Amino acid sequence: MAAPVDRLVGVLNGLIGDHLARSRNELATRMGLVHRGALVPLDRAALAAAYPEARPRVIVLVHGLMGTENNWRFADGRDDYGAALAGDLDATALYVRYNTGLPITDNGAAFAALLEALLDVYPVDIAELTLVGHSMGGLVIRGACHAGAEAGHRWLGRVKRAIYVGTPHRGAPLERIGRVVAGVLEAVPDPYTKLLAQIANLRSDGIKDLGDADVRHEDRARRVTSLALRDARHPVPLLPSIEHYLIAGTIATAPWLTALFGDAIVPLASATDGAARPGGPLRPSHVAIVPGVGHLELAHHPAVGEQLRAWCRGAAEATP
Amino acid sequence: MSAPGKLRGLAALVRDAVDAGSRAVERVQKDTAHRAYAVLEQVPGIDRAARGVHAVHDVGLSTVHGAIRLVNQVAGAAAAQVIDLVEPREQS
Repeated sequence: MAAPVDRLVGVLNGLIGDHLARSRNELATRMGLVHRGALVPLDRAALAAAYPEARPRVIVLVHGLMGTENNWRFADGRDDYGAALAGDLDATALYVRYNTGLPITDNGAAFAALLEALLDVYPVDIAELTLVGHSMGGLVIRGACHAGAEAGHRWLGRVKRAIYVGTPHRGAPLERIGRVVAGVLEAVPDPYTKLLAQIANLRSDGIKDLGDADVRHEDRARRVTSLALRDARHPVPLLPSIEHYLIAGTIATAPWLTALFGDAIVPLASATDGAARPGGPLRPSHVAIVPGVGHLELAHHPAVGEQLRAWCRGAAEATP
Repeated sequence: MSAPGKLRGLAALVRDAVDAGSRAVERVQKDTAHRAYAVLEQVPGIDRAARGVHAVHDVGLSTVHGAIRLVNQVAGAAAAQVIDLVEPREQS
């Protein structure tokens, strides 16, 4: 029973989570690690009790907009990417839950702080971190890397790889369309259209940040009303010290449909960050496109799971 | 998050929604009425009366919506009290 309610609370947080946090509503989700549906206090005893067989290799999974850790579960409800990767890498999988309606900048900073605190309270020394983010979760990871680098956090040195699943690295056009529509409605001198614009603008800061993949406050302040994807060069580049892997889904097989619609929410060019563009930090082998898989399905699809496992196994075998 | 916590959150959210909805509807009703009154207030002979009726209309509208918001706040506070009373029994 808890999971459906948690899912509803997750959706609510995604829609108006910024309002919930501002008004100190008890439905506002606090960022934390979740084990068997419950928040695990970030102290050594609680973590040792929740993860009695904690391994030095740790995989941290960050869900996407309006989600919870339940989004990672395969359709049969038994397994997920974390469990599969943990088996392959002899690692422990940790699941993050957070308020996806908050600005991605804030969630990134909170995630960085959580990882930094985790180094001190995890039952064993963390030797290696693998970060996996679906959709907005990938941008939260990017934001955390930026915040962690600025603050000189220790956890960054432990991150071996970051995997972005359906992450809108160059923005999400649907949000940009919403922004334009709200702007047009607002400009019409009519009380009813203005009311519609106000309703449209109720969408959370987190959703608005997806339009341009903003992971810093200064980028949010420079936001423009445009339908085009943001410039290929993101103001917060992927850190060169980490191996980055990108997965994109496509709902169609025809090339023009694929290019236009991507996984139905995130276009291919955004999910692949321009796909290993010259001078970029990505190798072509670090970018995978999974045909026939929509955006939400990317979080729990066997083909995606196999790709993640192949990447992690390959990297683990290459590590001396 | 506990079940009473979720209920308290839901009650607060409903209260916020009614409050914000009432303010938005009040604004739209005033703006819509303002258009008609703005025309009438330009007609010689009835301009003063139109301004008076306009003012009375706006005050009446604000009073009605103010009352809605007041009842909403009281009902929200009462709901929170009831949830607080139920909470210890659930924990025991």
